[in-house]
Amino acid sequence: MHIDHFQGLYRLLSPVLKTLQKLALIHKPRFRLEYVFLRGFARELQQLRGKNCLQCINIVVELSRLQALYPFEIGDEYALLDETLTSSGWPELKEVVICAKVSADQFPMGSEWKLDLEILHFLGLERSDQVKFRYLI
Amino acid sequence: MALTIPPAGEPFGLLPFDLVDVTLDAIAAHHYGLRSLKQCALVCKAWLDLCRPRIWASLSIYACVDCGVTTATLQNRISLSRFSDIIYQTEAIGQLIRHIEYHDRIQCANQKHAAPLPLFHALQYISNLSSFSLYIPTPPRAGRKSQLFGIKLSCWCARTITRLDLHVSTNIQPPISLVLENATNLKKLYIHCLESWHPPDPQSTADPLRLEEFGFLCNRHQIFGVMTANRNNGTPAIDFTALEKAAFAIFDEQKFDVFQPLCDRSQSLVELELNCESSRDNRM
Repeated sequence: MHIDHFQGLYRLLSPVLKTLQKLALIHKPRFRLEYVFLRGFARELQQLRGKNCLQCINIVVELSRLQALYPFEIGDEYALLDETLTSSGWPELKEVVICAKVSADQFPMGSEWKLDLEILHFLGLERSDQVKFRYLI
Repeated sequence: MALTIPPAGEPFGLLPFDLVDVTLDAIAAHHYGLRSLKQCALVCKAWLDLCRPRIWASLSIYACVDCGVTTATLQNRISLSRFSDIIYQTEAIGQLIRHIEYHDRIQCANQKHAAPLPLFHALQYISNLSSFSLYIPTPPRAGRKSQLFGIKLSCWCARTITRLDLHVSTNIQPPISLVLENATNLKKLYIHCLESWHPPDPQSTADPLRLEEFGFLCNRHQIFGVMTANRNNGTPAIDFTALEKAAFAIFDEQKFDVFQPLCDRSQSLVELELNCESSRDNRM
């Protein structure tokens, strides 16, 4: 079952968009067989474009076992997030940090999957001159 | 290589005071700074006077005797009984302490722990305390302790503290009204709790707590609502208009709404941290 975990984020942030400079989002699935959609987060971020003064976005997502079964889907989600953050509408953005955590209880699949994650890239953000980008695994 | 200590005033007396001050600040910030500071304090009286406030500025107090001793050389950890002895014997030390972390017994089978009562008695000698963190994970006799905590804290040190971190567990019910009404200088409040919480007194006429930082990491969102709701006189218990930094825990996808009033009221929020944790198997 797919759930949009970040629905309502834009509405929450709307009143503070004129002052908010640093946004940190930390997501940890408590339910092991649960798929966390980064695309839901990307969709909410798209609504912020052109209306914000964010300087730093920090995303920490702990990936569940189920996500290891859908590596191609993760790649698509990375691409969408990458595209969102490199498009126009982020006038003050200087730093993006994305941390994908593979929790310890993912073994024996975890170590193998970690290699899969290392292959994935945020090409747009990595090539950006405006934004200092770090991808941590 | 053996070091020769020159007579007092030479050459330390020739060093610019600012330089020594900055150097000691840098030492204090280092992971092993405490041990180095204690060595520096032995050099001469002038350095002792400079080092002492830094050594005693921050203190971690452990209820369990052994927990407080094991890493004493790395951090300023101290057992509760030792802390009480020092405070009563040397009152001047109490004026140097700015930050206290109190750890009730945690994951420790050792039963040689003391009750927190001595801590609350000792607090009256700490006149400049600005930051107080309490870690009370799973205490026995929770009700008695929590009453003690609320009353003593609010009476003795709440007026001076600007930051309060409460890490409390199920069955701990600090009467938050007492804290809010007495901590008139409180700017930063972080609450990590699992379940119970006494809401502010709706009859209270105290001024709203005007916070600059607020963290609410608890999955009982209704508690947040009660804490921030208007009282009988129409004023909120907590004023978020000056809030600059906030951190929430959100335990399922529907709960952003809970914190909407905070964002609506805030006029200067700069930093926001959202800790999202899905809760379909929510057991807490």
